[in-house]
Amino acid sequence: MTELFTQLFPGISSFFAMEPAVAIARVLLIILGFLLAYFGFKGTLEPLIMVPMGIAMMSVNAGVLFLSSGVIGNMFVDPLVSDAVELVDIMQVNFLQPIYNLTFSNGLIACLVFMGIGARSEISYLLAKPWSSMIIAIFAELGTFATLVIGILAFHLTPQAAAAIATIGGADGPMVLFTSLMLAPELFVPISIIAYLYLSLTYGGYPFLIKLFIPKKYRGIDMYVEVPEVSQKSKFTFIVITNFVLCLLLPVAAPLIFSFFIGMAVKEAKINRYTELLEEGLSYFATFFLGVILGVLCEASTILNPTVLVILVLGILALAISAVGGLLGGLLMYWLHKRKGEDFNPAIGIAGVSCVPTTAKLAQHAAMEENPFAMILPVAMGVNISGVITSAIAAGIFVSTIHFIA
Amino acid sequence: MEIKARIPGTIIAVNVKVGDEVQSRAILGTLEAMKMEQPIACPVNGTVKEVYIQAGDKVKTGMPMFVVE
Repeated sequence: MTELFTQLFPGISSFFAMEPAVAIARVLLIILGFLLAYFGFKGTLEPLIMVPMGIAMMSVNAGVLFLSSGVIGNMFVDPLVSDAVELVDIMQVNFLQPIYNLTFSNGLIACLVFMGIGARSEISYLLAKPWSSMIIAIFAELGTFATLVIGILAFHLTPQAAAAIATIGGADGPMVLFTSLMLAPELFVPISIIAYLYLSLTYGGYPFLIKLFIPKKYRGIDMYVEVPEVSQKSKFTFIVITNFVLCLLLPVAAPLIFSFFIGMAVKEAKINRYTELLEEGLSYFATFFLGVILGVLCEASTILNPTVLVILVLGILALAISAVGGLLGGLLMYWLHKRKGEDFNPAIGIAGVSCVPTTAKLAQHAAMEENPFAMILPVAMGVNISGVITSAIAAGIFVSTIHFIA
Repeated sequence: MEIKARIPGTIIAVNVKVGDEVQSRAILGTLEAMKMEQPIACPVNGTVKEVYIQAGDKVKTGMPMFVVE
């Protein structure tokens, strides 16, 4: 009788066949998956990632069965297979295995998302206030560098692992995927899941930090800026040359840098079909599967890793310190502009944390709450784009120099 | 007074027509810029004299959208 039940409902009976800790983790992950999907649906969390991720998370922990070899597993993906022959075999069975191995674990999916971000970034915003934008963006990397140090000194992580976790402070999902693959592949799964989870929480957390650090009367400051009318030709040339220089200086981050700039370049070159492909097609394809893969990777036995707790603590620390850094940069710019008799809304500092375009939008919201006529979005977008560039540079520096620390 | 676009984007809604009485802070329309919807708030009490835009129009920075007197 029990035998028959086991065969008919392996999803249920496998709960009793596995270690109790894993079984409990399975239940918790199913509940968490439901909550993520539900809050994504409600719009509290980023729906584009959280709806597919939450549902995938529930499904992978529900759809557990006894594989032919007798071990407990699922038919979604096995992230731990590394042997080439075994990999080809498993690709015939697990339907997400090809997506995982061919687009996820080599960073392609991150690059596709980045092409889409590039295609919707407008470089002329950056040119409106280039120096202020760059300086705020550097301030907003505070969390990245502080977390690296905290990770090594306080948590005794290897410099590679600490650096991979610290990139969460750059607030760029694709960048985090990329760096953790290069530096700490063994922690890649938990780091990327936690990074995306936190990134979608910034939407709720950052407005609170803005209110905490920026006095009310400064939040409503309006800014009249002339976004310079730069010719298509000079924008295109600027993009192509910057891409070349950054690739030359940071070869390890070159795939990401290339992806971002090629997106901007096709837009400036007015190749509308490519822009549409990157912006509407590929980037949604990539984001959807990113959510799905992150979800199926949250499988109880993969995620039960003591380092997860450390990543949870360091990840949120990185994002919080970066936000504070950015806001301090914003206050510094307010003060510097005030001395010249110009207006600068310090809430723009949050946009240095380069979660494009979320943080620029948060700055604009914070300003409009105090003053419905305030329009700081163009400047905030410029800071946002600088943030992406500085995060790419920080990631490049980490990947190419971290071995010197050891 | 003229209400000009502060950011380039696409008009996705126009809520008023010529002759409408509007209060300060009324939402005259919605501008979408970089996948974000921005309400266009009216700075003064008055009457709408001109509406230069309609839904679907692309605007550039500095382009006049409404005249309210």
